Amino acid sequence: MAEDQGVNGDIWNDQATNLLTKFQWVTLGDSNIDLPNEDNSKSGVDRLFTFTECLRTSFTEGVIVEAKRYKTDSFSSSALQTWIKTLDKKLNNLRSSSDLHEKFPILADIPLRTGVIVIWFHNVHDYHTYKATFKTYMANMKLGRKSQASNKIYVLENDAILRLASLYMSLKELNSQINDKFRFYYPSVDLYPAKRSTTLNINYMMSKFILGDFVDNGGIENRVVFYFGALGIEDFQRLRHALVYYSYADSDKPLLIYTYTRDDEEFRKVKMEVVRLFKEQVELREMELFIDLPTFMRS
Amino acid sequence: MAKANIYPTKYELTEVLSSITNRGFLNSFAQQKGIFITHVDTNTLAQEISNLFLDNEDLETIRKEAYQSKSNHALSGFVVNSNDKSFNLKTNYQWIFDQGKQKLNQKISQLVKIKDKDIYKGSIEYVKKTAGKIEFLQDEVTQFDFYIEEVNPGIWQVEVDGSRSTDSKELRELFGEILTRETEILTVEQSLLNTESSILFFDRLANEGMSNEWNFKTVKHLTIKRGNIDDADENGETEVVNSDDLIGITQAILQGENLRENLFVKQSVNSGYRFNAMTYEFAHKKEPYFLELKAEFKGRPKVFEVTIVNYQEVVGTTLTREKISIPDGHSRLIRSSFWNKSKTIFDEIIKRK
Repeated sequence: MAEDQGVNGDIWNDQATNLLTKFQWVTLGDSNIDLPNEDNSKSGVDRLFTFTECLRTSFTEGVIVEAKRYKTDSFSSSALQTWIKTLDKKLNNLRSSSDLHEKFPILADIPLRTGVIVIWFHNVHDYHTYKATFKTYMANMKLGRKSQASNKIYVLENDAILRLASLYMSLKELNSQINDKFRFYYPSVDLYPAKRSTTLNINYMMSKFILGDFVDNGGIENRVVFYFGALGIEDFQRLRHALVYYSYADSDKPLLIYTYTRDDEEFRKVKMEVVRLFKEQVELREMELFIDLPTFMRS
Repeated sequence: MAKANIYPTKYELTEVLSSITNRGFLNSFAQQKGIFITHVDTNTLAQEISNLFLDNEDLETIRKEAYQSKSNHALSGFVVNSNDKSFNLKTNYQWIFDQGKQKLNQKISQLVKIKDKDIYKGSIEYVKKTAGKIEFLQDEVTQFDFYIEEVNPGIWQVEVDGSRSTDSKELRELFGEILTRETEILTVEQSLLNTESSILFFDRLANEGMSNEWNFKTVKHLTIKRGNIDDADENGETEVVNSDDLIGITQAILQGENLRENLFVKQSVNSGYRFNAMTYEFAHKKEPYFLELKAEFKGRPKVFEVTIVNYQEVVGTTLTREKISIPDGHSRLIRSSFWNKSKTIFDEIIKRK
């Protein structure tokens, strides 16, 4: 088998769990468990989680997470297709299972429609060049359409995993300066009120920027943006508009923008213009970049 | 700040994404981000994508796709005619390119020779302001290709393969930089046809417009327009002809009758209507293909252009027709051939040499 079985697979399962729990995802039961389907058969899953979805709703949601550890040259597009199909099937077979509800009573009351595949290509240097191929596999995947319940399946690969790790490290540093007061900000959407939470939802994990805030010791609300996009002036103009749209631009409130992309040559040229663009009291900080798993995930 | 850099509202984003008819684009946009929503319709998928917090790159990708899916490729053109037999449009275009004589909002490309032909291809990108409810879609950057060929000494034919009726005008205005007293631009323009000759023009296109490989089958659509057709007049009454009258018109064309003798056409002419656009259906003589092609006077001034509306293949044992996509190169050749035949017919009708 191409996938790392046994010890390495279990280690990756735990490492992925380490990462997700940093964003207030809560594990349900053990890892590598067989769960009872509605038709008396069983589905093996790597880990069950719950998290609170704060965008629009305040529901807690159930999530099945499958942790995959591969080497780039052992991977094929058909493997990804199979995982997605299988995960879709597992979600459909499990959500109405009375045995499962008996085992985890919370699942009787919350939606179970989300699956996450966390795939780590452990030959990280090769992944740098392999990434384009993997993204093409994902883009070209054909999803069949049946008249059955819809599920949301997300794939977090090396880039997304390292981005989340970097986000966590920046948050950890920031929280150490502000007595853990940071909250993610979920803007008002579709007439639902805005919310603040320490939980990061899956939608933010897939997004290009994340909003948050904290109240400093002087009682002033500070606004924070974690920005993963490009660093050209037009990119920042768009980000500025986004902040206006989400009512997040406020001349009375300090704004802290964390950038992730590195583009020293270009960014140096436009940095002053970017600062002028954000008329608020803006501070730009860089997030750390990792090329391999950071120690907090490995321990 | 440029309008193009605004951030769309969630409503705008959902509207734009659900209006993109290319479902493949929506799937691939979501999936390459790692998002796979199973068993959903386009609207639900659009809703889901519009929840994301996107950056400039993502939004530009969506904008470009939204424009592309809204526009059909239309082929139009004109002739640059000079009394000076040594007039060379290619050299003149090169001068515009080298000197940067294009307008501020235009980007023009170097000409490239088409292999094995004496035709040169160029392209122009320009910003076009459009009014609309969706602010996100204003200030569209549009792009088109054009082809130039010297058909006789000092006479250059220009074909514009664009998506907007303003494309051809944009190129004519660019060439305005190099026009002298000895040079003129000849267009296939509706204002040069009177009511009767406009009917004759569309009548002849049915049987003479396509190459010999295709047979005319029916007239699928016809719009007629009343009022003076001059540059400024956009207020004329436009009518779409109903299907019963279309059957009569198709029969008259197929039977080789003079279309002007058709009762409906006579009544229209008497009421001051002239033909404005006609969609023809053609069947390939040897292969199982059907083609719907629209010939239309469009824009200001009203210039003739050709668009492929539908391309179908007959499949299966029940001989059902299935819409298929036509490769860009093939589509351009069909439209180019039709436009060139139309131009010859037009020149004959208005007795232009």
